[in-house]
Amino acid sequence: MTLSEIATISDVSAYLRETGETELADRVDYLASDEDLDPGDVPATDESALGFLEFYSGIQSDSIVGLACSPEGWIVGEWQWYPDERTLTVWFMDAERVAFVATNKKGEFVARQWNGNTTSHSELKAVLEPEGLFVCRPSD
Amino acid sequence: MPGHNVARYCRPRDISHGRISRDAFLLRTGEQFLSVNWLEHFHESDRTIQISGVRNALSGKGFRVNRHGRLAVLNVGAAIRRVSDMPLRFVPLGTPGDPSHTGIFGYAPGDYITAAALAYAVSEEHPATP
Repeated sequence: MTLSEIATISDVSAYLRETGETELADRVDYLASDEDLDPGDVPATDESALGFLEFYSGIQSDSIVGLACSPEGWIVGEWQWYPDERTLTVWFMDAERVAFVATNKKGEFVARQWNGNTTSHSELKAVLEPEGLFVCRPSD
Repeated sequence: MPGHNVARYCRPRDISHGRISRDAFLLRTGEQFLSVNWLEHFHESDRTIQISGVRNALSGKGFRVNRHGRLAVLNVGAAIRRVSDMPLRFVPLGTPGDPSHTGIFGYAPGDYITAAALAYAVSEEHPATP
């Protein structure tokens, strides 16, 4: 399976599994299921998972990633295991839109102007790569 | 109540690699405050009694507490200091069914930075069920 063939959250999980990301695939499966859903919450959506995979496959980071899920079904990527004070949380609202909060090596919030607003993957990468939160992989 | 503490119920889906997501402290559209429970309502200092009190309060008012959920403890003073540029207020909202209910006011839905700062202020975590 190639990235361009992926259309559902099941595809996202299968792709992660194929590429050796078993733990992440298990987590995506969990977030896509009804397990532990609170009343009113929805499972992680296809669009959100597609957004996460596109972003995740486009960066390299020296933090592992943890995945949470908002009540709205947005996958929340947490990069909070850097060796210093850097942190990054991204809410993947759909395949295109994200919201985020990040701190730099000193633990200071960066790019505060986006608080409460959404942005695009490309803008997110343009703002946060210079802060050292990740390195973008060369696009094919 | 700066020296006092509150507990926030965190859904299992907001816990990854043992850490509570910042999403647990984000206000949703239409919400005016973050619901928490005031620990010192139950006992001045005994954390076991306090946490037990919160569990009973949540289940007593029909709130479905998931056994994989967590209770995140925040010190009120530390949380206010951490969110220094927002005027956070911890307001008792107790009712006969849940006298420890408290609201954290002073930030809005979509305020990701304040949610992150509150997550930083978590000092302890406890299982949401015994």
